[in-house]
Amino acid sequence: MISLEREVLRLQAAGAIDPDAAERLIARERRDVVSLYGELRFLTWGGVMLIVAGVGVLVSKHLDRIGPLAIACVIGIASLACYGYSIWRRRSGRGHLTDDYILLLAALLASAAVGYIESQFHLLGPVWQRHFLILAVLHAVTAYTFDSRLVLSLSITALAAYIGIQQSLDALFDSDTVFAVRAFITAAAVTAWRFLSRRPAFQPVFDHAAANLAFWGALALVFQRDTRLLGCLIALLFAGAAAWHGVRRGGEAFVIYAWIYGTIAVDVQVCTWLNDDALIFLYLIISTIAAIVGLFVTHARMRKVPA
Amino acid sequence: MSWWPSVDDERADALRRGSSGWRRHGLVLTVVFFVLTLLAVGALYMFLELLKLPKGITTAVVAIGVAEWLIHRRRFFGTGIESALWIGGLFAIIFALPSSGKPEAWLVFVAASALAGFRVRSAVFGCAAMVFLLGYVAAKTDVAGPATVFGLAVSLAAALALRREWQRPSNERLFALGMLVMPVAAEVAWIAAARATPPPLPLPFAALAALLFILGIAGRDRVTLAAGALTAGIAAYEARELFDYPLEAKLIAAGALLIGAAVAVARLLRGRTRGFVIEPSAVTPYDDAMQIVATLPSAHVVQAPSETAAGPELATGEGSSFGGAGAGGGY
Repeated sequence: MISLEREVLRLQAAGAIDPDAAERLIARERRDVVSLYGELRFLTWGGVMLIVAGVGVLVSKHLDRIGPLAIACVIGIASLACYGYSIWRRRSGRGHLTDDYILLLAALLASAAVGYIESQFHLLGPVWQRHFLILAVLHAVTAYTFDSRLVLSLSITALAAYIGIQQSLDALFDSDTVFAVRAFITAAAVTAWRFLSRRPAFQPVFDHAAANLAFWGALALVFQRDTRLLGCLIALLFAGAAAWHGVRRGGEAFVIYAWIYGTIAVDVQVCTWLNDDALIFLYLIISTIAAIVGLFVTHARMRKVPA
Repeated sequence: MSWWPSVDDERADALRRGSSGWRRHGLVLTVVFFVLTLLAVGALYMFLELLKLPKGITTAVVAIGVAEWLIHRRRFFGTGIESALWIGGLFAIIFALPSSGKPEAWLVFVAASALAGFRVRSAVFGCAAMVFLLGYVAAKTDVAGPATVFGLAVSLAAALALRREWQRPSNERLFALGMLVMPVAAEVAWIAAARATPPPLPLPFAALAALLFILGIAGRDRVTLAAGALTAGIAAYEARELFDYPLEAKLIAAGALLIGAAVAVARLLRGRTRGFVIEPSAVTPYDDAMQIVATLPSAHVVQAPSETAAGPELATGEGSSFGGAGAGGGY
């Protein structure tokens, strides 16, 4: 076990930190006060994920034995119970570290119930995709009511699904121009939502979702022969915007997105122009070093910009 | 000329990153630089292979030479670049060697990881050396037991080592990572070495978990408690065959048990101001982001009608395959 008490005392003596901060830090170093808050939240989150996985298995294995109506009712009631608990906790004004995750469980069970009902009873007929829109709205209302970024991310995911974005790497490599257009539409919708939203805490979720969706759309074009150059140019345009946003706002992740997605797009394009394997590897050495240096310099510049 | 950060440098950086003058990055950026640098080293290796030049030794000389230049001249230590150059250079030599197929080949990886870990004071490489050593034990004995016992013993030894006060934060990180990773490596060795379905082995893992919990509580150490929880999870996984319940019942019960345990511990610690408390804190700076990203695959655990994805206006099929968690459409 390490103790930095000596250094803390030195900083306090030099006037670099005030006595209150020093006392807190010393208590931490001596382990007089050890918070398990984060660990217990992870434990609860793990519990929610296990329950949702169990529900997925339950639905897939027991349809014949239990029947679709019973399954839909059980999942729906469980979801409502979790929503009810969350509302009760909110009204009581007593927060608990598990509250966020019970709400997450409610939202995930609601997604499972709505998806299952639509798959079994076809209530929406040919416009079945609208069940994703219903979920996007439900999760958005829940996220804004309970100020939950976790549930907001579910809402954005449901919106993407409604527009037709598949959530897998295979989808990116096997994609076509239609996928790219859908990704751009979703990114635009998320960006518009971000500017309409008045919750500062939600903005990073919107920003990351929009950036990744836009880059996926550009890469979907890059991975097709006919649209490769166009996709490369769009990816570079987005990379410039992401780097600018990252440097201006101190967003390290956006600087990383810019260099990683931008380098992938340029590498794919250049490697298709080169016919010789040795030349391709020589180019990859140079481009990777360029990406490392570029990322290093951009990151250093970002740290110099005052927040 | 300093070969690496002094004890004081490391301690100063542990309190406030970058205060020692050595260039360091946060976790995410370090991983990104590490991967990019490994790609560059790999591309150099392949380039030399295509030119029929001595690929292993040339790659190693170039990579380690650049790493040393960055450390000495640019004071890189903990950027992800110099560590990737060191491990990439050493592994390039190993990959260029003719394959013998003997268990002793594992020891070459142990030596390379340990050497790179010692030079750049990397807990990850040090831990990789421990895992390769476990691989050697498994390959040499050709049965699962010794490797599993070795993994559990190393984890316990690391937990005990954490009980003493270390001066260098990098030493503490090495023991902490070893304590966390070795039970997982032991479990993988147990599963991989079995010819057919391995018999359940919950007791050794449960015993280690109990010891880790005791050490964690006694030393008020969050990492040791986390290792205990991880090992208890492995013990529970090993015990799954002992209970004749359907998988979904086990998953839901385990989930409810975890939530119940969290609630019980939180209730126990409520109102406390000394010792273990539950005042808001984070495990890592990325807690929220990790949970959001890890939750998304379960966003639509039950999927809509068919395999074809399409938006409402662009529909070309009957349904969507959006979603995940392994519960897709097969019902």
